[in-house]
Amino acid sequence: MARKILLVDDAPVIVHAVGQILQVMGYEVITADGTEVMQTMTEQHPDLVLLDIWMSGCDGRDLCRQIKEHEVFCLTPVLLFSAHWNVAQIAEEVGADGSIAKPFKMQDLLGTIAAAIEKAQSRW
Amino acid sequence: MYHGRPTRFDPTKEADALLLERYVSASVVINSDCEIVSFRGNTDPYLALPSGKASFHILKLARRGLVIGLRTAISRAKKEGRAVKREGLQFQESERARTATIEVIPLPATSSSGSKRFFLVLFADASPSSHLSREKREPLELPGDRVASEEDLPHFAREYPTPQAEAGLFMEELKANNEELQALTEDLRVTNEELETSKEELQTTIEELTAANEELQIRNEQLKAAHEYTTALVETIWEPVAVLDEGLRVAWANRAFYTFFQTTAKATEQYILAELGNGQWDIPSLLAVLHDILPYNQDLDHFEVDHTFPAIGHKKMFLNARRIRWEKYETPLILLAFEDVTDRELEKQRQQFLGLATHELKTPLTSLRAYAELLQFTFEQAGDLQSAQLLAKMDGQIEALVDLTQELLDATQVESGHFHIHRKQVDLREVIRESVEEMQRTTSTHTITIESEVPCQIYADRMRIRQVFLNLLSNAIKYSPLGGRILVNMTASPEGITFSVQDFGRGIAPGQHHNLFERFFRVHGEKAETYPGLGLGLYIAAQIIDQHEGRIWVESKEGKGATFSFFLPSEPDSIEEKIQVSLSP
Repeated sequence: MARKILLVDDAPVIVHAVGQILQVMGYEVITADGTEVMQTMTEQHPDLVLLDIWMSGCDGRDLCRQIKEHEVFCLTPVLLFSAHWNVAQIAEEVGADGSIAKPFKMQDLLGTIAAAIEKAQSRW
Repeated sequence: MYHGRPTRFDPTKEADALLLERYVSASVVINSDCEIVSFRGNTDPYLALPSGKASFHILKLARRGLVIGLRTAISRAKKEGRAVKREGLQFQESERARTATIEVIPLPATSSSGSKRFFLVLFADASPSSHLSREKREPLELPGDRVASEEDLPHFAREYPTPQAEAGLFMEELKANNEELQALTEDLRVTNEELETSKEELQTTIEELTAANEELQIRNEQLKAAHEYTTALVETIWEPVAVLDEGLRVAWANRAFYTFFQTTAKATEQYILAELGNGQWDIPSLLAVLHDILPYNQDLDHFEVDHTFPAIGHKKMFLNARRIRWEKYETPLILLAFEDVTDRELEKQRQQFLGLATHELKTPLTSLRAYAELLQFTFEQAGDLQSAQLLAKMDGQIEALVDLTQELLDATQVESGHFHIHRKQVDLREVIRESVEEMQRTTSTHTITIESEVPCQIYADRMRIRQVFLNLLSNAIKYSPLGGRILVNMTASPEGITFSVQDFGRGIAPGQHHNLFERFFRVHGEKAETYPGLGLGLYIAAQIIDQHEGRIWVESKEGKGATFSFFLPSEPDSIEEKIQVSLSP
């Protein structure tokens, strides 16, 4: 069964390009904008959330904190991906499970996602 | 308001007063203490003002020669309550020997005088030249032109005292005079002592005044020097400065003011600030604050003015003002400084734009790279290796573009002071190995070898040190285009660890070594333009190492390759500080 990844980014071109890669690599990709994240998670129960930090009208850091404080989704791995130079530091501060700096290499993206899912699975 | 009765004119009294003034004998009225209470006629020949303490005592005023006779006559008049006359008293007046007759007449007591007694003292000139003088004592005139008889003896005895009585009175006078002399001598002694003390005090005061004067001269010199220093300082600073009086009239402005605003002293001094130029300073809120500076001793800080000036164009500036005292003026003044921040603002906007642009560039780069890599993967999966290779080349160019963008972003952050590192305890040996593997994948003509390595647990920003190492390795590849060996070494010392990357390429002339780590510097020389880059990589690397409290350097000769090294301290000072702070209560 394919792993389900929730992709949250306000740039449609990123959503499309990253979505294509993940689908080609065998992941199921679902998308949501910032305001729909918690509802989509409740309905879809993704295996991992790939979350942009700065989105129009929405702050990825707040969403990450909400997920990590949620009684059901707190163990769902969240990866922040951003063009911000300090994304690794921000991810650590908000309790994310890792970070990917844009522009990323496909191998780095896939490696980081696989490692985060594997780590989360081992916790179950 | 005057309530007195008007004086009625009395010709008789007026005539009497005139006659008295002209023809009255020289005389004085004294009280029982011998103090003169009034003068009549010309007493100058008989009385003279003595030096010293002011006094109306008749014996002190009387000319020498008259004193004894006067004392005797007054004493007797007091004692006997009748008029007493003394004649033939010799005295000196204006260096001339004269003879006088004096008479002391007790004045009858009235109800208004009470217990006080008064005496009229008459002076008459008996000098030979005077028509009033007599050659010899005239016989006592008796009433009725009769000749004196024995019956008149008691009268004579009263009028002419015996020699014994005269001698007794004379002795009394001498005694009194002696006492007076002793008192005067005592007074003189006290006065002398007082004068001595005053002299000493005066001497001390003079010395103090001399010292104070010298001090004032020194202070004056210091003030003059301070004034010259301040004027020179204000004249030579680059910042335009003006001095305003309490009416906000320009009293003075420095050279920078005239240069900056392209105006002259003639068009500025003595003009009210609000009237200058095209009324650029006629800002009610600014003028209100400036008006409050002198009465309330308020400061003006960073008052922002954004204005287009006719001569110098658009400027943004901060105005700062303080209350000052200037020796040329009696009242306090306002020192107004104009801080031009136009360029600073432009630089800030440039930095913001650059930061935003590089950040925004990353979105299309991310999708571009994702699509290129996805296509490459797809072609590889489909067995179309030629297309996959083309896409790999495209990916390489995208990678170069990503690096340039990142460098620009980093440089912007360094310039704006927002470039920070986040240190943790990391094993840099792993970082070196990863970086070498990654860079080896990008080249088939170079062989990157780790010659020596040491265990390397160090407090550092892993990503930033990786960035430095990748930069050094990519430079080594870039500047040895013919390929060859690239050697990596790690050396430990008690102070820290040194990392080095050595290539055997074209090398760098020694004259360029010190510029290598500057912003936008690129190595000069043959075909230099064929080497890509913005000249930011080593600049950023140096900033990263600097933030780690380390150092970076190069050893190279032209044509002999280059060795870039950096040193990281095992215990940076900031860590020690951190530990000390955490241990403190």
